[in-house]
Amino acid sequence: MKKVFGLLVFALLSSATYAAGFRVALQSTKQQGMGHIGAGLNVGPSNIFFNPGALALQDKGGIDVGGSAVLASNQYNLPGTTITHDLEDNVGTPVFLYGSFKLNDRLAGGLGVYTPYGNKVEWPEDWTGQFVSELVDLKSFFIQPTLSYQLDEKLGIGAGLIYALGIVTLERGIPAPTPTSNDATLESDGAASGIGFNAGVFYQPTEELSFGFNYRSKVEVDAEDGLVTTSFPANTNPAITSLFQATSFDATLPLPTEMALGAGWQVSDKLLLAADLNYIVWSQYEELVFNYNGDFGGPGVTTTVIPQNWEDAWTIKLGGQYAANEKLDLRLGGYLDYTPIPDFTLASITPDADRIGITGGATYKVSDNLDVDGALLYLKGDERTVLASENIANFGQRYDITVLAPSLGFGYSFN
Amino acid sequence: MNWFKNTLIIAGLAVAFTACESDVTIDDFSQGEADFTSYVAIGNSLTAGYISGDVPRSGQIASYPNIISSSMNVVGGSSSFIQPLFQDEAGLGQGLALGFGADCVGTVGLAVVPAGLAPNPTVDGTAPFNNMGVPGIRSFEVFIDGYGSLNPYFGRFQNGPTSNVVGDALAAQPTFFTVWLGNNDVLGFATSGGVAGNTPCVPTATNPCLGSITDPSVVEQSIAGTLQALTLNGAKGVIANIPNVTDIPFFTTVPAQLFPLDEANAANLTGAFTAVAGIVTQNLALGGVPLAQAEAIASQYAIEWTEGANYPIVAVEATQTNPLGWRQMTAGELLVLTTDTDAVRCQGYGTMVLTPDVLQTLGLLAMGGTPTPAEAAAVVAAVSPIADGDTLLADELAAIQSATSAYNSSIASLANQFGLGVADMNGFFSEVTANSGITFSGATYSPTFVTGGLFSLDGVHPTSRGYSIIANKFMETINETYGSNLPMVDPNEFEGLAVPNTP
Repeated sequence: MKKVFGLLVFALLSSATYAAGFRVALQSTKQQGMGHIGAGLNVGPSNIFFNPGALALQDKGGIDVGGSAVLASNQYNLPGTTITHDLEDNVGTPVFLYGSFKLNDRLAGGLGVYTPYGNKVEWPEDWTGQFVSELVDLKSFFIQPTLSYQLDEKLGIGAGLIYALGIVTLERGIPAPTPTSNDATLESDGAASGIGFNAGVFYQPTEELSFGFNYRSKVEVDAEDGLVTTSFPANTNPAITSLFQATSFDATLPLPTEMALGAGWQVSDKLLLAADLNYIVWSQYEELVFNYNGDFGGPGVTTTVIPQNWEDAWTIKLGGQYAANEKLDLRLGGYLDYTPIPDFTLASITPDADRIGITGGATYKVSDNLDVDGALLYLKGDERTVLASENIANFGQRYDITVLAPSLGFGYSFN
Repeated sequence: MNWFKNTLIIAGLAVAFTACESDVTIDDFSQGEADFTSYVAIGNSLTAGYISGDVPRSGQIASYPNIISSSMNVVGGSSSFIQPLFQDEAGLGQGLALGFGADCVGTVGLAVVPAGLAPNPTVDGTAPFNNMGVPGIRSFEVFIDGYGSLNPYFGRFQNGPTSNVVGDALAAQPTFFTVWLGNNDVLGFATSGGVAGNTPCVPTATNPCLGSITDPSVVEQSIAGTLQALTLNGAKGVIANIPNVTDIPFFTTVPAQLFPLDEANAANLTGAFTAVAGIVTQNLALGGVPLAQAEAIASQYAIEWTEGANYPIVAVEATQTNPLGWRQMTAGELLVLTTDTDAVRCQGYGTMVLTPDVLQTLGLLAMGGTPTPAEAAAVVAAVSPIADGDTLLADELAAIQSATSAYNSSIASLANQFGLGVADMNGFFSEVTANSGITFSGATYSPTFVTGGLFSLDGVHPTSRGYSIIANKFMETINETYGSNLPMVDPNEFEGLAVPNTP
């Protein structure tokens, strides 16, 4: 019997194939075109995400809306064998919506809805890692009402309250002495929520230079009474089914603190260069604990503890924007994104490696009020090998990760 | 020029999509200094692919030599590995299956039952064979001419009526070999509870040493002769050593402390064994033994039974100091898988068979009465020790340990002499036992009978999953010894045990 089950929680675990850990760096089509940089730039409504401190320095409000299609591919090899498996084809669709408005000369308000964490990672049934993970499907939304205040013409501060909502489905196989043809499924679905904040300070000392610092707090997402569904083949021996009596679970997942330091340099009328340095406190993700309302895997076993022991990680981003003419802006960018997951706890639920991202994009100004944005991210993981002897689950893993993410957005500014 | 533009667009898209494909790097696999043109495996049931009491065709296909051969084929070895395959899963018709049965108190549960398949011994395959694993074979039997008449499995595929196993193996002109012999030279003694006596046996024309420990010098000579023959033409190979019997479920599944006693039963048994001691004292004294000495001898029979689990009574040799020939089992001693646990639970096997007559006599003794000599003898005879054939006692375990160590040191020095690698199966099985299991890609298997996933229903032989792990151990040794890089297999892809549905 094999196959089975999944669990949990919300936000969890998931994985992102598009940024290290399970973070998703696709929060604005415009910024995606230039390496997803924004902490040190005054870019419009999407500053609700990148740095709310800049919002109050904008002279009008607006709306930014869009989304991406994430086409991830990942080929797995069990090191030392000829065995390979390909990630199932999936298209992830992270979306964003930001709206900002001036309350008075110095005060601006806004609302952001975005998806900083999430993904779907589905491996073939009966693949090598089936007892670690077959499917994780994480969807999460952050809803962030925001206020920003202009201290003077050069300095703005801003902060927003984050309300996080998520839902997750996990599935994995359960090892048993039976042949592989006798499958069972145990699936867990959970919804969860948590609270946090996003705050930033933005400083523009001259027309040419800008700096910013943004702090997004940890959000502890709690799932209560998540659903555990067990489905075994008909007439499965009760010696096996009786090991799985739980029908619900509780769990908590930390979405970690993230800090970003950014700068922008308007080199000329046409050329803007920018850089961001991000630091994500992934060490907050020490373990994932599930508490069940009944036996789960054995008599008296009502808790599952999955050690994570992730490590803090950096992302270094560089990008630029060139105004080709009055109607067209072109963008280029790139970043290095370091994995937070140590070899010891690497699992197929978050098949992760250091990554390099290359981006390009453009904005076409349809009118004074309306922009159409397009961008493309190409992301390549550094091929990573973890031997079974180095891993907590004795799970040997080698991954080759590739992601292509086209993005489309619209910007509307109020007069 | 539209076609030109379109071609460019299509080419551009093709490049983009190719770049979007992931293509993981697979290790460079190579044969190193070894030559895998013709691989031959010599061994016993473990080499044949024996599972759950027989050799099903599926077990042959998942035998460790066949797995190794597939990996050799990846690095340029032969794609052909001929086994004496059965036509179907029935093998020789001795297979076991999991079914359901009721125990003596009426509880229905999983039970090991005969699979009941009709034998179909016809061989699917033609000589020369590459898998020369012969179930039951002992080290010295590989040189017995006409061994097929003694062993029906070998009889199925021997080259001729007077051939022997090594001779038939050489017919395949091996360039590479594995040898795993010696297990049965001690296993037959162990599974039969050591009834044949602890002294190692040197086989002769008239004494085949059945059920005995083969003398280590015989094992050494036999393996030396086998390696000599195989390496004569320059073939390379690997030899495996012998696991400890205490690492396999046949000897670790029936607990030495059997079914727990409640307070009343424990008190009754203590009273009964006290009565036995009293009767023995009296009999010895009547026979002229001084009273103090008689009491000293008899006191060993006044077993005190406690509420909860107790060690059973086991049969030992009767001596002057232990005239009844039984004692209580001690920690570390083992019971075989085939011990009749129903008799233990319901019929006093391992304690005392309390018939109405015996109970009446015990009652009489408790009241201070005097039973007749026949009644007293019946009480003593009611003690029901676990038979010698069901137990491995301390001296037998020491004999097994000593023989296993001797065999393994011979194997190590012969490997050294012939320049071969040693697959350390002894160390591997000890490690799995010490760690209570082994984990592959998140799935943990253990030596626990039935549920552990590593061992089959006979408690001695692995499942296909277990054999795949053994194949990996062999290939690790080959890689280390010959600088080759054979691809391993994933044990999770091999079958464990079929657990049946509800009855």
